[in-house]
Amino acid sequence: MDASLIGIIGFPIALILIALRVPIGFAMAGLAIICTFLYFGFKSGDEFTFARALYPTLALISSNVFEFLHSYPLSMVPLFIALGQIAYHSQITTEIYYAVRVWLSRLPGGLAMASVIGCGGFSAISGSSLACASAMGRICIPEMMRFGYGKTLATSTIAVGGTLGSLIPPSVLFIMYGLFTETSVSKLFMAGVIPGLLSLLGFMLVIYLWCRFKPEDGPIPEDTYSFKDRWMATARAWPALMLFLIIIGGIYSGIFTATEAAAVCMSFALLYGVLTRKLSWDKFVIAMKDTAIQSASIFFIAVSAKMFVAFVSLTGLTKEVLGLVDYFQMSDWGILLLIVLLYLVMGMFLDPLGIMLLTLPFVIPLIEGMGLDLIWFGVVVIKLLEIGLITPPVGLNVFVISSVVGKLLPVHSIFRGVMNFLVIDLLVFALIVIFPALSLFLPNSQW
Amino acid sequence: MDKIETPESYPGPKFLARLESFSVMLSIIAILIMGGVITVSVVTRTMFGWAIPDSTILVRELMVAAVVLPLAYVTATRSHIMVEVVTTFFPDRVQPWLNLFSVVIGLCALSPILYGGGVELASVVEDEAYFFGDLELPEWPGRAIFTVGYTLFILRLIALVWSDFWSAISKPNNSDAISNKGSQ
Repeated sequence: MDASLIGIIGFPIALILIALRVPIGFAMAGLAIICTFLYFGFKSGDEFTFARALYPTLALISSNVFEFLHSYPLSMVPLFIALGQIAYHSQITTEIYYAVRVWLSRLPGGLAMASVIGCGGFSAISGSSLACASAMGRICIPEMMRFGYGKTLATSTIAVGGTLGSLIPPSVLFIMYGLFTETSVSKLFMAGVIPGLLSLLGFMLVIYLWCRFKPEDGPIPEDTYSFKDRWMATARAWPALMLFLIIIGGIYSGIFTATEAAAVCMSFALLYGVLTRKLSWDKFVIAMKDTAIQSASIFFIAVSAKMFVAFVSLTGLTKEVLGLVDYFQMSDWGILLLIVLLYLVMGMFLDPLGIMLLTLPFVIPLIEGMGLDLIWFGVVVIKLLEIGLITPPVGLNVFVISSVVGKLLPVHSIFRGVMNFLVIDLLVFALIVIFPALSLFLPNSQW
Repeated sequence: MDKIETPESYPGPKFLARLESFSVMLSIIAILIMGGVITVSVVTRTMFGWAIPDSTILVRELMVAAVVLPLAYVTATRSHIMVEVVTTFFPDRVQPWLNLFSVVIGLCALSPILYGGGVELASVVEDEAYFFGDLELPEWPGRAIFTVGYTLFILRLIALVWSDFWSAISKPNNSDAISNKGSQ
């Protein structure tokens, strides 16, 4: 049996298994092991030999899995997840929202804008879109409802605000992208800052315009805050600012690696939570338990993807894809457009991490072949995955918000609201593609 | 750490559920030590110009414990990342079969990893292999943790295959009873 044929058959089977609710990790690992086994069995002849296949397959699998996990730089993933969890339970992340809220309270739609900024701040610490949508949804949506905000505006604001977690560092998706493309995670973090802030500003613009045209959706609250109240609220957000400075400032100036920044920030958040007594023992246990579970889930997929990548390169499937592109003589822009469409379509149905790890073995050689910058492409991919989080029919963030609000608003109404933000999201995406400097300026000027 | 719930309602023997909870607790400790070791190294490097010896190796070993030990618990709670968009359109009677299909695939995928891990552990123990560094730390602890974590993972999958099989072949209104029976 031809090696590339094994690969060509294997990839769609993986997609079918994933569609049949087989966990992504099981599907990728299972396929990779069976196809690698077949590859070695058929390697030097037409007849399959069991004994010849067994040992190289086992050796490849066990060395790939253990060596992948036995990694120092990768420890930043559980540490950043722990930081997000501890910061949330110590109320560090939510203080950002309360601080911004008092400053923007007199603006039409000010609460919604504060929610988006709060999401941006939350993301800058937690690194997870879904966690951000879930946590901020529980705080901001009831608050907006209390002040008479439109349900569609309130829910869609948090659904889109939550997506900032993928782009604003630290982002678990960036870490995984860096790992699988062998690019610097620190540079990727820096590359995500300006596009992340652009997205945030874009969302605020949408809210502003929304409330201009439908003022009843974003009424101005009657509460007034004195100058002292505002500064007091801002001062309470100092731990969040500190964490942001350690992560961005420390990495940008070269004082820390991303892994060290994760550890130092986690220790800082833990110390803050304990000293201020905001982090009780129960909350601490919940935070750490969720950290362990999330880390294990993410790494299980990553390990399976590692095996999948090994199987793809073994069977020469990537070469086949490159050959196919050559055959159709597509222009660079044509290939890029195809990749964008691929991510947008897959983003409608699949989990972002799964999409990324399934497609990178095929897409990265194409991008390298075109001589494009992998750091810039990382931002492009993450932005596309971010858009996938809010596009129907799956739009994970929308479903998270739907589960938060229950029967308050049907899912399709949240999707309808999200569509207003999608326009600006696509515009920001176009800017990132057309002007790579938006992504590359910070990493290129980094120490 | 006594607040980590024992998943009593999950299928399979209780000792397995307790072991899974204990493994999550060990994973939490590993994450905390990992953070502590790196932080102390950064602080002492910046202030005194020295770092904890072999801190990189320590963190790598702890990393295995942090992400492998909770896998069985994640499986027991069915918290693995999966896509449900297509299968929600399938009739209810198909759902238990899909659960069974998933865990069978998982079992097939993971058994070779466990076998490979066991072989590597035996080889490392036999060779008395150690990491090059100031402390000359042995290589077997990380390998042993990996093997233990995957053994628990496989045991949990076997328990799920058993309970999902009975759920799938029983009438829909009996499935809960079977599931509870499995947890006895």
